[in-house]
This record gives sequence, C-alpha cells and structure tokens, in this order.
Amino acid sequence: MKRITSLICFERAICTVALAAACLVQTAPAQTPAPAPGPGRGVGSTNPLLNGNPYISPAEVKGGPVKRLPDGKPDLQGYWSQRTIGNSMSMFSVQQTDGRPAQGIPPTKGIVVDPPDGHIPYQDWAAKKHDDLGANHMIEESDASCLPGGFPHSMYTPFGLHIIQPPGQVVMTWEFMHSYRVIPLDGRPHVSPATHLYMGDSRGHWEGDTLVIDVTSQVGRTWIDQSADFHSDAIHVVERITPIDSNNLSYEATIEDPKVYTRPWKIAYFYSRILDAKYEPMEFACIEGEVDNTVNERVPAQK
Amino acid sequence: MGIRGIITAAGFAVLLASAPVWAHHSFAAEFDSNQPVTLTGKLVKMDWVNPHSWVHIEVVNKETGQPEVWDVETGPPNTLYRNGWRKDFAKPGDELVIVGTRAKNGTRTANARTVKTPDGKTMLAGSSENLNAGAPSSAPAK
Amino acid sequence: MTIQGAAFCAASVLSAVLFAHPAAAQTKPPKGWTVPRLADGKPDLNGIWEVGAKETRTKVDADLEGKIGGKNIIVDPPNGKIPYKPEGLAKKKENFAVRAKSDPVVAKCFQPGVPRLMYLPYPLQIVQAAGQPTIAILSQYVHMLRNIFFTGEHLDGLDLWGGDSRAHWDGDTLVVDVADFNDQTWFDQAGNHHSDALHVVERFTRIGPETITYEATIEDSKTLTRPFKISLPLTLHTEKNFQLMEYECYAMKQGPSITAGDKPDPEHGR
Repeated sequence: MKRITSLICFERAICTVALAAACLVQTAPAQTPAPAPGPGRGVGSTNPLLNGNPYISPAEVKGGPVKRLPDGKPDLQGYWSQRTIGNSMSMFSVQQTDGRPAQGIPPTKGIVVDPPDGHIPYQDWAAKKHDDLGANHMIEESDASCLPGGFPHSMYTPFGLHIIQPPGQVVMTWEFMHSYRVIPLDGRPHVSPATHLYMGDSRGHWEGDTLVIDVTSQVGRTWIDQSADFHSDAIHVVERITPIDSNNLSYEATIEDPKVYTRPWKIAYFYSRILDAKYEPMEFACIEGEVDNTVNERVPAQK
Repeated sequence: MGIRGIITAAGFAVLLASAPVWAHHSFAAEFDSNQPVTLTGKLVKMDWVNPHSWVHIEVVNKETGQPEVWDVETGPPNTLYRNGWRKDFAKPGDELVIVGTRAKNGTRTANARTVKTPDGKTMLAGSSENLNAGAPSSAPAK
Repeated sequence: MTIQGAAFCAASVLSAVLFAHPAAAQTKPPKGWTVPRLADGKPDLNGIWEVGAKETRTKVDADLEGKIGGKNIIVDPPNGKIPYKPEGLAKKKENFAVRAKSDPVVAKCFQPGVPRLMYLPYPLQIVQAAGQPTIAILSQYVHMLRNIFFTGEHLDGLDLWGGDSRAHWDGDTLVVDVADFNDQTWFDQAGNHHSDALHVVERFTRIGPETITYEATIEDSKTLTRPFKISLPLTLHTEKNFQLMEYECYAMKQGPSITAGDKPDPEHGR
C-alpha cells in the first residue's frame, strides 16, 4: 500500500491534472443515443436489418451537412447499410442477370456500372470458368466456407458496416463473418506482393472529401459474389468513398485483374446510415457448430 | 515461428480432417414458394448456428399416423434475435406451429416463414424467401 | 471543476489506490510519463498489443495456472489455482486428457472466448476513436472481432462464444463487463473451462508508453467456488509499419496456406 501511495503522490500533480481533464470531458454527452434496452431489441423496427429481411435495401433518408473530424476530414463513423438498385442482392450477384433468375435469386440489375452492359469483362477462358463454376462447383462459393470476403465483396455483405476513425487510420468492421480491415492513412508501403491475405492489404488517403482506398495482396480463393464471379490473386481494387450528406455515402470501386478480366471494371452504389438506435452489431460465429452440411446430405448438390 | 510451436503435428492432422466445408444455397435453389407447408408438432431441438439456424420438430404424419422429424431452416441467429427469438423460446416437447415452404427435393426439410410458440406469439423466422418481394423493382424494364 | 467533478476525481484516485495490486504493475509508469489521451480526454489505448514479452507469450495460453515474469498469472487466489468446485475440477481433468483433439482453439480453430482472446499469442489491435460509442478489438487469430459497447445492456437470451461486452471508464481504467457466454470455450490449452454462467469483468489500464495492464475477474457460479483474477501485461508492438496479418487456421485445409506464417513479411508483421 505504501509503495502504491508513494507512486500516486510522486505523480500527484500530473495525475490530478490528467484526472481533472478526464472528469471535465466525462460530462460531454454521447454522440449517439443509447439503444433501447431490454427484450425485443429490434422488433418492430422499419429498418430491414432489424425486421425480417436484412437483404432488402433501406430507404434513402436525406441528412444534414457532412460531419467533420477535428482535422477537417469527413467523419464517416457509425453504422451503415448498403443501398443498391432495388435491394441489397449485390452479395448474390454483382452482374446484371439479363432479366433471368441466377443461382436461385430473382433477376437483378446488379451494381456493375462499367462496362455499361452491366457485365464483368471476363477473358474468354474466364467466362467459361465462370459458367462452369456456376453450373458445377457452387461448393467453392467462399462465403459458404466462412472465408472473409476480401474486396469488393465485403463491402456489400448483409448485417451492417461499421466505420471507426482512430487517429491516422480508417477501420471498417462487419458483423458478417466478423470481418475487419485497417486502412492506414500515413502513406506506409503495401505489404510484400508475395503475401496474400483474405482481406487483402488496404492503404488510404483523402482526395478532398473522398477517401481513396487501394487494395492489393488478396488471395485468389474468394469470390466477388455468390454467383461464381471470381478473380485471381492479381486482383487490384481502388475504392472511392464520398459522403453526400450526414446520412449517405457514395461508393465506387474499380476492379482490375490482368489474369481474369480484359479490362478494369467498375461498381457503384450507396450507403445509408443506420438511423435506428436499436441496431448493434452482433456476434457471427461461422464455422463453430454449423449443421447445414449434415442436413444437406439429403439435399442434392447445387447444380 | 512461435505460433506454430503451439499446434502439434497431431493437432494439425485433426484440424485438417474435421474442418467442415458446406455448400451455401439461396432460398429459391432449395425451397419452393409454391409448396407451402404448415407443420404442427413438438420441438425436438434447435441449433443456433450460422448461416442458418435449424429447428427440428416432430410431427405426426397424417397418412401413416407415425411421428417423423422435420428439419426446418430459419435465418441466422442474429436475424432471429432481432425478430424476438430468445434461446428459451420453447422447451423440447413444446408445441410449435411452423408455416413455411417445402424443400424442392421432397425430403422432410422446410424453410420457415413464421414460427408460433405455445404462448401464442408468432415470430418471423428471418427467411430469405422475402427476397422475392424485392424482385419487381430490380427486374429490368421490358 | 464542479463539486461533482471534484468528487469524481477523488473517487477515481481512491479507486486507483484501493484496486491497484502490486503484482499487477509489471512496470512502474516511467517518470514524467502521462497517459496519452484522445480528443475526448479518454486514455488512448490504440495500438497493436500482445500479451507479455516475445520470449514468454506462448506460455500464458498453455496454462492459465502458470506463471509470467516469475509471478502467477492468477493473482487471486494467491496460490495461483482456479478455485473449482469438485465437479469443475473433474471436468478440467477430463478436458486435459483429451486436449489434443478437444481444445476448441488448438484443435478446432474455434472462437477463443474471453478472456482467452486477450492472451492468445497473436497480435491484437485496440481501435478507439474520440467520442465513439464503441471500442473494437481486432485479433490476428481468425480475424476475431470484439465490439465493446459504452451504451445499451447485455443481451437477454442468447449465448455467445465471445460474450457481450459493455464498458465504462473508471478514471483512466477501461472496465468491461462481459456476460452472455455459451459453455463451449476453454480458458487455455490445459482444459480449464467454464459454464454458460461465466461472467468476466476486465480492467484495461495503460501504465506506460508500451504497456497496458490487463486484469480480469472471472466468476462462474456453476463451476467455481469463488471468483478468481488474472493479471497480465499487454505489450505494444513498436516495430515500424507493424500490422495485423491473418491466421485463418480453419481455411488451411482448403488450399495453399495464406498466413503470414508461410510467407512472412517481416517488414509488416508476423
């Protein structure tokens, strides 16, 4: 006790000032409201994430001026939900499906904006492989194996995106697969090209109000979506996130892979801030105890 | 490297042998919206797992009079919780009424739209069947 | 400063005096050092941390009833042993006998739970931004993610692998209350276990430029006769450009290994 007391006393002047500063700031109000406590969290909400179907896009709600951090950069922090054409089915197919159902999902316009026909510009061999994967090898679908989705796939998974901006970084986390990525803003170099990571390696910088993210070093194992759209480990993605107002972000990503595509292609859509105070990201345990396979032994293999 | 020192060769072998690989599927690939089914029976057990939870329910087959177990797929635990499900939503032996759709392959498998518990409460089961509701707005104009 | 503020400050100093444990302070705060703070005045816990020192960090996860830096990891009870009920101890011995194939982390690559995530020998990153309602903890082990909420309450009917974490600041110590556990995780590789009644209260205190003292009080009304407490140093990684890599053990069977362990990039991580 005496040793501790002497420690406190020695540092007392500094400790007192530090604690006083902490006390004063303690009274600052929280920036977001507390979620409603108790049972039934989320029930009755109009937010699709919280009521029935997390795959439907939220409505667009206009916001106020873009919030800013003390350094003047946009404050993108909080929880977001992707808002794509019609609904959030981009996880299922980024390509438009020519008015037909694909892999069991209804027809979709997808999120490919370049090429203008809404299709991924596969090289010939890759187009054949895409068809073969979709017809005969759906078991390789990467979400099914609990693999983190990489990019751009992780950006349109369901259940919410969380952005946190500690000093010098942007950090994104996802409830789906409990994925995360850390985006340093300090200009440090990428990891070695010999390293391959499921979530790749991200580096960011601001161009005005646009966060530009460069993603390298992905593995080739993950799919772009759940409809057999694939890439190699040479994939390189450049994303641009721009706040439109305090409730809306625009997102676009340019994807290139000289082993698979004939040219770079681009996706674009929006994010809506999750305004329902009841939303909290929850745990997502994936490989622990799944039983789909046991039951699916009685279900024919996906064709 | 220090990390590797922890996992023995035996441990690795077990890991490699036991890690599951399973095929994810969309609703429409496995289940048929045109084959609705209502299952009334006793809860056997529930698996709170991703990507789909499973309710195992024992019903009496009306034709044979024999009990049989059906496996009913729901949404993942997070979607269930957000729709009011709790781990004690029912005890084994409690009667449930499950409204859903049958599997296309005719097995005793179904996808749940709603589940009614003994207290009379009906809960959404987080089915991705609702995706179809989004289809018209995403279909390209003719 | 208001009267309430002064009272709070006095209480903070008092609590620091009462609850600091001599064995918990692995190092003294350096002379003249003050804890760095974020714009909201809270101690800055950002950084990539890892338990203990390079030479000893694998030992903690091996056995929670062991030692680190010459001192028991379990600081209470003083004998350094988990205070099991007889049936809890019997289960521990069963687990120990089959640990090679039953350890949920080593054998199955499953979620490690809390507190085990905090002393696995993999780097972890604390993510903390001024004024935000959460702190996130990211781990290199299977991209584990902990969301620690300053708002809301524990869940009311769901058992989780990593529990549900609700936090507040107690002076300069982050206190995290973790509940809603399932019974599936182990505390270590020696088969030490818990039930779904597990309740953990963690305390994170940054005591130097490169050290957070991590303490956890662990109680389990079904397996233990009383709570026990661990104390461990979390050490900052200061290597230039250090970042989390990936250890996706469950994925290894599916193809070429993708961990940094196979293609180490010493410029960036390990």
